[in-house]
Amino acid sequence: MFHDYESKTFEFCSFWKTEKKLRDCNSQTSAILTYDVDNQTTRPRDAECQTETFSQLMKSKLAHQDENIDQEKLSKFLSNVEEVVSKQLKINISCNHLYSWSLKHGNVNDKSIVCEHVLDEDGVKQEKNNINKEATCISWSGSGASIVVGFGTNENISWSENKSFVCLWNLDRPKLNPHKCDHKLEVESSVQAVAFHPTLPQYIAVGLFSGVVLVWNIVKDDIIYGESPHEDPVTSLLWFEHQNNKYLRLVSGSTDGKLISWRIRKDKDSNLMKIDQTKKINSKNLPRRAGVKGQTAIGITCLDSPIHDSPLPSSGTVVVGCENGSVIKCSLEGVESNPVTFVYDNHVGPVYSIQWSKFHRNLFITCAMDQLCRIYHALQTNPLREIRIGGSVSNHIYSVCWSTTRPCMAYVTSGTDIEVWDVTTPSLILATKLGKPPITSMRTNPSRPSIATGCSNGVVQILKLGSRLVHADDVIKEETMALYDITKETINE
Amino acid sequence: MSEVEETIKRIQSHKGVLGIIVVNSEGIPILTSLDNSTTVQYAGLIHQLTMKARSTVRDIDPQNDLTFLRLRSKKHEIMVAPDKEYLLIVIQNPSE
Repeated sequence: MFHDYESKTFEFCSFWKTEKKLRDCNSQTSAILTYDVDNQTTRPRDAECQTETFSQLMKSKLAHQDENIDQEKLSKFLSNVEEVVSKQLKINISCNHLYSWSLKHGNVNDKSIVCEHVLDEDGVKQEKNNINKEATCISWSGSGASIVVGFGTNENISWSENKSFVCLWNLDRPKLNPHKCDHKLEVESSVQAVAFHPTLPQYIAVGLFSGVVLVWNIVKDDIIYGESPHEDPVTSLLWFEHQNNKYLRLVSGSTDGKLISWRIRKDKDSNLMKIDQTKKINSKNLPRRAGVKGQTAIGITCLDSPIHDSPLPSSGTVVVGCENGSVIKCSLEGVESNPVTFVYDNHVGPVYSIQWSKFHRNLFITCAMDQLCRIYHALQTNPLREIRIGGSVSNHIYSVCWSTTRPCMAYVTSGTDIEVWDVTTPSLILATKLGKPPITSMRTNPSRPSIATGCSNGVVQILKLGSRLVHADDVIKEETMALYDITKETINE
Repeated sequence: MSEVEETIKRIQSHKGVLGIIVVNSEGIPILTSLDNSTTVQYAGLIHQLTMKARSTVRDIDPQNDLTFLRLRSKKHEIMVAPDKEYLLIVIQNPSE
């Protein structure tokens, strides 16, 4: 029934499909050009050469020289020259004073402090009704040859308008008259601070009890007043370096808590010193451990700034000792009125004196009413060393100064004595009694081995330091290392 | 020879004289009373210094010339007498 059926297939050509036609084609690129070039490198070869050292050359020439000396010319030259040279040789033998200072230094173990001059200005003593007779402050000139003394009184209770004096002596003058100073300036109030400019000795800054800051130009005998005074007595003055060479910069600190930066135009005659900026230390900016409550101003009693390369301090960092015993690091840069950057541990009682060490960039020494001298490291709150100054409690330690040549030595005034301490151990090296009236201020001479002390009866003594206290060449390395060792103690704690 | 020697001896007889050196215009020592190495050192250095000093004087005033040079140090004094062809160096310690 069902068959398989195969249908026929049907083929037809496609209209669109064609055979692809292929053809071979050639293409030609340009020929690659090549060149042959020869190159030659140098081949090094070792060769030895020998030079003579200069001295050998000289020696060999020296040996052969005898043949070439023209004896006549040489003898003529020598006869010409002999006279001149002999004369000078004889002069050298006879004038020994040029070399005699080396003989003075022969006694290396001299530890004495000897009084060289006693300066007592008659004009101040004889002034009637003058209560301003104490030598309250002293400053040496940058060369160490002149000294300026400010007279006043430290016992001011109420506002005083008694006139007072600033006296200048030049100690190098052969006719030094200890009873009459070389220059005298009369001011309207007790002088509390004086400062010689370290490099321009014609400018002396004076700070008064009435708060007035003035600059005395000795050359022109002219006074430049600050445009507005402090509200309270000026206690400290410090000359700074001004970036602009035409100006001078002075910073004054006062018990009203203000740090005022003044600028003076050097060349123009001006009667007023302009204020660059004012900063005030307020107790609200101090931490609680400083122990001050409320919002009062903290009075400044002393200030100092570190000196690095130039003879004047140029960094804006200033370390300040205050009336309540606070020791504070301040910055004069910036526009904020609060200068406080770091607060150290307090003293008990006003800080009388503060000074940075010349030999270590981070150490400074302070002395205060609590009979203690402390050495602080700038980066640490608690002091590294404390020196308790002996003697009775009534012995005020008004001043402390580092030695200018020996890194570990400091001078402290204690009542009527000067004590010399080695701060590394700490140990007392020497104590010198100076006489009855208590010493109110002391300053070391920046370039000579002497110290000036001012007493409460107006007498200023210039003391010469023995060479053992000054001569530092043999010990300076050890002492600088000892000073660094003290600071290392802090890092390990 | 003897005259030269005599003059040198005379200069040396002054009190405190440590040594004498005569140097020629090239800086080479001709006569000396010190040992060789010291002589050579002094001659070279002092000759250079004298040339510099002389040129300084002449730069400031071309009609001027250096007649004498003294170098005082902590330990002694060096005196130099220059000339057209020679240089006399005398070292003295005055504090003896």
